[in-house]
Amino acid sequence: MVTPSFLWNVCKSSFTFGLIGLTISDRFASIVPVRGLSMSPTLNPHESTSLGLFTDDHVLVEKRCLTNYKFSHGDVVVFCSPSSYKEKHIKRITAMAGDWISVPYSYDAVKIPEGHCWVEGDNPTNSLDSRSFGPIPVGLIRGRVTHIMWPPQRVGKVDTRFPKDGECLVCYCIIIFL
Amino acid sequence: MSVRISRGFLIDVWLLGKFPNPFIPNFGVIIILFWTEEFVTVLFLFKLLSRTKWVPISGQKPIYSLKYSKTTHIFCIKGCIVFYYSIVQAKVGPDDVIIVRSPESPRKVVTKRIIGMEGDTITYIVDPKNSDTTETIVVPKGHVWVEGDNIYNTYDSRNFGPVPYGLLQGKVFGR
Repeated sequence: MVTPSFLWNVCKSSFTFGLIGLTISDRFASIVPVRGLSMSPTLNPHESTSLGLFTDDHVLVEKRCLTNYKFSHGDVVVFCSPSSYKEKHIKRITAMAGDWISVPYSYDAVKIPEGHCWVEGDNPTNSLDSRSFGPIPVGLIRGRVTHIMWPPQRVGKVDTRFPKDGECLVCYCIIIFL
Repeated sequence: MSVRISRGFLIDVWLLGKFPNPFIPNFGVIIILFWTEEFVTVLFLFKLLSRTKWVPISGQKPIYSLKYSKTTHIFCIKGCIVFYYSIVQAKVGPDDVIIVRSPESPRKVVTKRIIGMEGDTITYIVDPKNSDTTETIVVPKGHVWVEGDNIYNTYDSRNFGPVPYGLLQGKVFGR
C-alpha cells in the first residue's frame, strides 16, 4: 500500500542514490554520447542518421585524471570549448606544452605555451579544433575517454595513438641555451 | 583572507540517538559525503547495529533470554549545502572577485578581479613598475580579462592573456 512512510522512504532512498550517482559521475567516470564526425573512424565512424541517440557511440569518460591534470600525447579528451563554455568537445591531444606546431597554410611555427595543449580531431576535414581556436589551457579538460560502451559491436578500448604525419607537423625541439 | 565559496556539498551527519522504527528505512544505507575540492570521501554505513535486550519470559520466575531488537540509529542528514555556485548561469560581471584555474598551471587556483567581459575593450598598462606604455585589446568571445588588485605584483591576464569561461571556478562573496 502506498502510505506516507513508504513515500518518505522512497524519497530518502532516491535522494541518497542520487547523491551517490552525482558523486560517481563527477569524480570517477560517466558515459556520454558522441555527436558529430570529427573523430571518425575512432568514434562515430558512420554518418549519424535520424535515430541519432541509438546509433551514436557512447563512451566512458574517466575523471580521475583531473586530480593531477597529467595528460599525454594521443589521449582522447573531453573539454569545454574556449569560445562557448557550455559546449563540450571530444578531440585527441596531439601536442603538449613546449612542443612546436606548424601553423596550417603558412610557414610559421608556434610554440605551445605552458599549461596548454593542442587538440585535433582524427578526421581533419570535418573537425573544429585547435587549428581554429589555437592551443587550449589544460584546465578546460573535463575528462579522458577510455572505452567505447555502445554500440555493442564496437565495445572496446580507445587507443591512444600518435598522430600520423599529415597536415600537422609536430617536431619536438629541445632548445639549449648556451 | 577571502572566503572561498567552492563548489560542492557539505553534508553534516549527526548521530542523534536511537529511536524505534519505522522512522528509518530498514536497509539503512546512509551516505556521508564530505566533498571538498581535493577529495571526496564516501562512507557507507550499513545498519548492522543490533542490541541485545533482556526481557522476562514468564512473570513468576524471570527467565531471561536474549531478544535481538533492531533499533536503528537516526542519522540526521543536516543539509548544509555550502555552495554550488555555477558560473554557467553567467552571474559574474566586471569588478567581481573570482577564483580561476590558472591557464599556465592547471593545478593552481588563483584569485583575481574581472576587469572586462567578452567584447569589451581593455586598455592596460603593460609593465607598471618600469614603464608607462599601455596596450589596448578586445576581449574575445567566451573569455574574461582578469587582473589582480595590486598591479605591481600580480601575474594575471597581462601575462597569460584572457581567460576562457571554462576555467572560472567560483565567485568570492565575503571575508
